[in-house]
Amino acid sequence: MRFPPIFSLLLFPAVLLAADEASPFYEGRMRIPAALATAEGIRLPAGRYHLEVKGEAPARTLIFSLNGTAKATVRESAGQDPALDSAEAPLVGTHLLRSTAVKLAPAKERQHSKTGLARYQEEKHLWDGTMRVYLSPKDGVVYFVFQERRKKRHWSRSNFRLQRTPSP
Amino acid sequence: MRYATYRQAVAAAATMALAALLSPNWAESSNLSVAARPDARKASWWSFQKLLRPRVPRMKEGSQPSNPIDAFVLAKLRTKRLKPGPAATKSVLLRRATFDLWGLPPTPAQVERFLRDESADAYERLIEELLESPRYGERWGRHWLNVVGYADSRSDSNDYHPNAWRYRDYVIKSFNEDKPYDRFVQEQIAGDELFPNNLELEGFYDLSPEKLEHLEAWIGTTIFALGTGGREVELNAEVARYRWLTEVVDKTTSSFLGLTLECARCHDHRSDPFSQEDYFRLQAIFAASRPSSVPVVASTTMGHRDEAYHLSIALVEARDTYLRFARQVRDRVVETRKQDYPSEVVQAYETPSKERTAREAELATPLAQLHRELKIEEHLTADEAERHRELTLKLAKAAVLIPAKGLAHLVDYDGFYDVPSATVLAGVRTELIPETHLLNRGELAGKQRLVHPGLPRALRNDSLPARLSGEPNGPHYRKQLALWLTQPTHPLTARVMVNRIWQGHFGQGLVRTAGDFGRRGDSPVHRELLDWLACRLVDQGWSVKSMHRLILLSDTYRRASRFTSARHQRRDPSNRYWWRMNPRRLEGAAVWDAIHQVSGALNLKTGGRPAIPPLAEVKGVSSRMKARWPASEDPTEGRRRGVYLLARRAPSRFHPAVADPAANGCPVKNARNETPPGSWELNRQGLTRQARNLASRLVREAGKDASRQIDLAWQLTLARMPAERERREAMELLEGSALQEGPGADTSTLPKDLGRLDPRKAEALIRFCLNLLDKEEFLRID
Repeated sequence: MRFPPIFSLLLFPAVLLAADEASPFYEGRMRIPAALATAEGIRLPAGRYHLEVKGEAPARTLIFSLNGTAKATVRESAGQDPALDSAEAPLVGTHLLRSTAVKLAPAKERQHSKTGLARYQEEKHLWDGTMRVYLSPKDGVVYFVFQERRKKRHWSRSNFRLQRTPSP
Repeated sequence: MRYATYRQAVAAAATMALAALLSPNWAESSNLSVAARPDARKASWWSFQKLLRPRVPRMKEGSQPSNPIDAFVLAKLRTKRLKPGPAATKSVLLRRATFDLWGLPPTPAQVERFLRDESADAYERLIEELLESPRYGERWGRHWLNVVGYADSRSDSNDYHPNAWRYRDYVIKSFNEDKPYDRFVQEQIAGDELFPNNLELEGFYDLSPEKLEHLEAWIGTTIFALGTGGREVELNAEVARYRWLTEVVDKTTSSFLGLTLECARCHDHRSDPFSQEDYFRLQAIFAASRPSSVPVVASTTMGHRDEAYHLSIALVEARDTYLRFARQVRDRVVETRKQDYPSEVVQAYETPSKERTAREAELATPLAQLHRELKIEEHLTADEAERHRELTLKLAKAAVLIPAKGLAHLVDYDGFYDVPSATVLAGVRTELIPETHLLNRGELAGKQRLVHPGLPRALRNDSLPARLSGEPNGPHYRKQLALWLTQPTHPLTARVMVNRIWQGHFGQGLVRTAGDFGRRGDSPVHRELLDWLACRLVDQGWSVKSMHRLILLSDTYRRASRFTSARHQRRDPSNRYWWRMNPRRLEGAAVWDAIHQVSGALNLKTGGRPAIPPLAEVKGVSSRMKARWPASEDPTEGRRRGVYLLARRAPSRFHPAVADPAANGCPVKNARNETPPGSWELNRQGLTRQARNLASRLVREAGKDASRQIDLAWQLTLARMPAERERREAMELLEGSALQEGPGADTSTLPKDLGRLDPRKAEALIRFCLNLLDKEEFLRID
């Protein structure tokens, strides 16, 4: 069976989306201390968000979710931005984002210490994905900077631009 | 960041800093008093300027080194018209890299594998292997613990920090996991404020990885709970707090900023742009915190511990019953001995101890001592012996019944019966935060004006206010300090850390005063290289392991140390331009580890409470000291890596050999620590013991053939085969010693393998091994 070309075009994003869903991504939780807004004007009040970084550089997306609902999706910034140079005041601490490729053991297995050490001592952290948040004080631009350590010890970096807004 | 040239940018920044400081109204705008105004000349010092990225020097077509470190070094060498020295041999390089990353010599198997591997990336793979081993974290964790002056005790007395080891393990784990350095700093300064969390279970017995990660971050703050304050100081809370705050500020500024800010406690800093007010602003940041003990297990584990409460009561009762019985036996025996003493002694002894005069107390001493030190087992009647057996059994049973671990999570209790806990920093309720005053000459009695939390004027940029403000849910001043310290362009944080890493690999930092980046410190020849490396650290996610890789893969690191020439010596006698590698003496920790490693005795167990090696039978160690020194029951515990041995603070007036000098109060640590941890054990006796272990290993692995023993000994200790002359001399030593008169070694006390040899040959082999362990080449990294 042959699809007409128009059908192929319609199916293409769906295929991409499915592939994107299946591929591993980075996630973590972050308490954002200030109200932010995306370039599209979506407001993100201060609060504790679930963050997901999906895709590959230079076309990554950062998804902000609250209580299981996606609130905003921000695309990676392309090119040089003068605001990035002045964005050097960290807003929060450096956050570890976990890759979904590394599966957690089930809770039943995780509850017991294997060595007698406290659980925090047994927990291993892979610092392959980190998120830092920098504010440019003069223009209120906030950059979410995601860094990924890849094989061969190379680093990839993606910047996501948001704007600080006054708290309601 | 794009700048025409690095030098122009630096000059521009310095000019701007000067102009800002010289403008007539800057002091008013910054809320600083005239007295607190830092001197503009001091503020223009290179290390106080914002971190900028220099360009990598360009070489002629085709001669550009692939590693930027080499480009910087070669460019400078050219200005001095010097050429770099030759590359080190493979075996030298292997030993150097292994000591640098593990603090241990390579094993013969590693040596053989590396020397045989002719592939182009053999060295690169070696570095990866070394970085991935847990030995790496122990080595570099030790460096960091020296920087912050880690110790298990407050002083040289029995005033331990029972949970200090959690910080030691935290540091080692952080290095092994390559935790980003900015996060490492953030956790230590304000892990609780930046990553607040709890250990409440979420519907099941599981604790989420995030909660565990945040608990670990909190344990980073233990660095500030390990003070030197003795018990007597605690009697005056204000004095104790001031002393603690002083230590905290000194530790923060020396460890993370490489500054000698402690001078500014009594007066404005003489050479650096820090006022006394700057100093007390930092104290005000920490005044809103205090050390606190917190459990590191979920509340269910504590609940399970409480279920055994009745067993602990039974144990206490069994113990009390035993002690009552023991006292009765002592009383009876002493009663029978009274006739041996003069009546005035007996009379003084019979006076209740609280009612004795000083004279009576002195007179009563012999009988009191007899009562105290009597071994009751030697004086029991038949009935008492039966009762003694019964009570001892009851006591043992009661002790054994106490559970050793929490049933909920199978986590071992700490010590006998305590839930595992950590001593960390915690916030003080806002209304209870003590005020901080500027103190005349740093004396607590000389209180002057009130000081608010703030950052040093000369280092903070214009975006930050002079005075830190609290947050709605608490002051959280430490959080603001931690975020400021980890700004990517912070003038000092990355520079200081990169310099420490360089120092760990080259013996000296690019700034030779690693603990003083101020004006009294060194002005580096390779400032551009330092700045480039600092920018690189930030770019690569503050990854310390990436920095090791970069340095160890450079040609600069791989140069021979033995090269020299008259021209080089004349133009750069102290090798400031890095035309060769510096030969280095092994630091103390590496000496301890290396000796135990080559003797085959090293116990590579990781983590946990500190191990206590046995005290050696040497002069200067009193019986009182021995009584306070419960050496680990398991003899292998005393042979763990130096980083896991009990570290006592302060050079003791009485026992200089039993303190860890790295833990002393001096905040400026430019040099490396060359005294071995556990030096109380590693004297002649300890060294001889390890020489015997090494000799035994040689017999076990190389047989009785002296030539093979010599080869193996050289491989184990020096990672190479002996030269012909060395082999001949070693043979002469072995044979000559064996022919000497005397009974030789006492075979009954020798390790099994060594006992198979003729006693005189065994003695000769031990002497040979002792010579090797004392060989200058063994104690040095080329």
